[in-house]
Amino acid sequence: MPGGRSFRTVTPHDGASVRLRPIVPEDKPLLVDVFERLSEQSRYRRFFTNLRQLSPATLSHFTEVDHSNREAIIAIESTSGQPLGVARYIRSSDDPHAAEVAVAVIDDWHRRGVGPALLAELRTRARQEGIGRFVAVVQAGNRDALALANGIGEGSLRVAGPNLELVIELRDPEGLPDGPVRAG
Amino acid sequence: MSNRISYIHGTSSTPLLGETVGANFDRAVAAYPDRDAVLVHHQRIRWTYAEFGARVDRLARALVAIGLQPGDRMGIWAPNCAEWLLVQYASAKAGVILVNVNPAYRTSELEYALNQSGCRLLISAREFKTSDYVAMVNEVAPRCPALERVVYLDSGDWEELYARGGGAVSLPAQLQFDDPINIQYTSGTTGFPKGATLTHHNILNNGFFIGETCGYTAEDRVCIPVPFYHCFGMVLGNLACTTHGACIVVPAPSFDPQSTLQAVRDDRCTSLYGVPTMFIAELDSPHFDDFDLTSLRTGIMAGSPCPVEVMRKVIERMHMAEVTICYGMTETSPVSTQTSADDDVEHRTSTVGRVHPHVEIKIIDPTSGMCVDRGVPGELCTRGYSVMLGYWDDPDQTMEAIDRAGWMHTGDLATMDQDGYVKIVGRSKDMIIRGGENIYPREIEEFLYGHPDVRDVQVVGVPDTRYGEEIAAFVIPRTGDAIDADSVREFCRGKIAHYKIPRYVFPVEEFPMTVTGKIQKFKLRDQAIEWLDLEQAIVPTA
Repeated sequence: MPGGRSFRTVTPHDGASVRLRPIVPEDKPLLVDVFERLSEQSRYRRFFTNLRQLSPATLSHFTEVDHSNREAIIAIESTSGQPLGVARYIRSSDDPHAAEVAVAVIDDWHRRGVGPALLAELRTRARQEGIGRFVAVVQAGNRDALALANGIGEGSLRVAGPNLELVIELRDPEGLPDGPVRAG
Repeated sequence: MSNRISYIHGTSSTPLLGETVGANFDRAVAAYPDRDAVLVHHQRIRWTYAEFGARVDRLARALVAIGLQPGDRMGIWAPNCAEWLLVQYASAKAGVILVNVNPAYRTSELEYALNQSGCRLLISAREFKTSDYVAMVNEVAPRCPALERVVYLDSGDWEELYARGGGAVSLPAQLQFDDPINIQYTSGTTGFPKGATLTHHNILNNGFFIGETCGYTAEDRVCIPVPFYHCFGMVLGNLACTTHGACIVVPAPSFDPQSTLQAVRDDRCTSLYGVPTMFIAELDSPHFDDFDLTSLRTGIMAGSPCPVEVMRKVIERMHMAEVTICYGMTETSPVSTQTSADDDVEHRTSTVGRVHPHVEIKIIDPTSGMCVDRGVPGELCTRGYSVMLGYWDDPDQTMEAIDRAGWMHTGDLATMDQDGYVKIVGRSKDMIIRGGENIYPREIEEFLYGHPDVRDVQVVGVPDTRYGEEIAAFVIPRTGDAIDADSVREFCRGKIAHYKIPRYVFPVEEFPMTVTGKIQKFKLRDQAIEWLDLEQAIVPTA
């Protein structure tokens, strides 16, 4: 099957069917596609600059992950195969139980549940790898991101210049098994 | 119960005004016909309310006569002068939306403002200091399809326009106070300025209640050296005056400490406005002690926080015992909080006062949206009559700024104490305040991407003893050769306002980022401070 060996299918909103799986090096074109479908505003929110393109070095860094210290989940629309977004964590060099997290979802699929689904999946992976805390650096005006962060754990806030640093203690999702993803 | 959380409502037994700017102005003219209304020193103009009223009326009819309809937009691009005042009130009476164009704007900004708002008419100065407005208009006008007519002040154009008001033209009868009447461009974090659209109700009431808090009556004479194109001039200044029958005193076309002190002395002004840098300049000017400023009792300081020693000197040496501080933003008409005349120096320097009449304020945790306890920092939000209608022709940005419950999210971090005093503790917007002007790095970055040698750029603020902050640009050159700082500045000149041009330009190979690729501006700022050997001055935080 395309991409990773194991994936979870979720139906976040309005009948959509979205496949979530860990990213692999062969996903570079999918990542470029996601990037190109981000509006200027979305790019600015993700990178804090109007990044024009992903350099080859960045693409490697983003797709060649070890699934332990660095993990990324990609969301793909089940029928069309359209990549919708990515969430990633990178373990902190100071604290092995913490990781910086970042999310990007293409504009056409904003507010349809893709972000929460990606983050929930990423949280599961993080817990499996011994990470109990996500740190997210977010622009203060980015209310969508703040709400997203609030949905996966208990957050506390620190001001870092024009941005906010959220520390989110990851909590167990209610009623869902926290075990390995189902294959198939 | 209510003093535990950071929510407050400014109750008042003085009701909001329910009338248009024009109707209120007419009442002032009728009530105070023989009192001084306007004194403009550099034009040797002195008008009573009756004279001011007659001229406003005539210009309003002229605007109708040349075909402007209620809801149309017209721009004003000029330093402070009597004509600016006439245009402000005449446009309001004609129901034409006035678009304030910053006199420091250059061609790219002018073109953007005229096109985004669709101005049919532009009233412009011809020249001022190093600005050649005629040349800039000539360059830009062919690219402004909606612009039908340009009227230059100090020319036959103005006389010709004014003369059109002489016939039997009627003013529109169907204006109502919730109609938009003013657009002011305020930049933001989207790279392009947004047109904050204000109604009669927004600005008339804000001006009125500012005047109430300052204790204005028809006896007051208010010296306004701050620019009219900002709310500080046209709302805190002009509207606070005309709603009380007070006199507007204009010392000079743009700020100059000597002219300001002279005007205060010669006209026995009772109130003086300024950003802190202006008061500092006045206090430091030669022969300051020779000016008799004993007529002053109050004034307004706004734009950035005021150092304690400056406040003490303003109170003691300038006799402004009742000077007030205001906080707000263009999008809230603008004032949300103001200190009282009897607040002590501590409150006047470390807080921005208490909530304005009829306005609600809350401070929220940005992650949850919940109101925080008193004393806990969070994002300051404002609700009430003063919240703008929206950004002109930009529903998406409007929705971002004003939430479903009507709260305007300011992007400022603040605390509220048990007595309702608000302190600004941080700025969560990426913004630089230089000499009282708000500057958005994103806008400068977008502009500099157009420079042929610039591959990538980040703009930050660095401390500056004169302006509070100065602008530093970090540039990754396109070709790997060192980029020339002068060429960057030259690229900007004439195209963007002078105060947005970076003072410092640093070529670099890369930007500091988090592991997930997010640029860390605070590290760039620290780097600039180190390279420039600057002291870590206390940066204005609001």
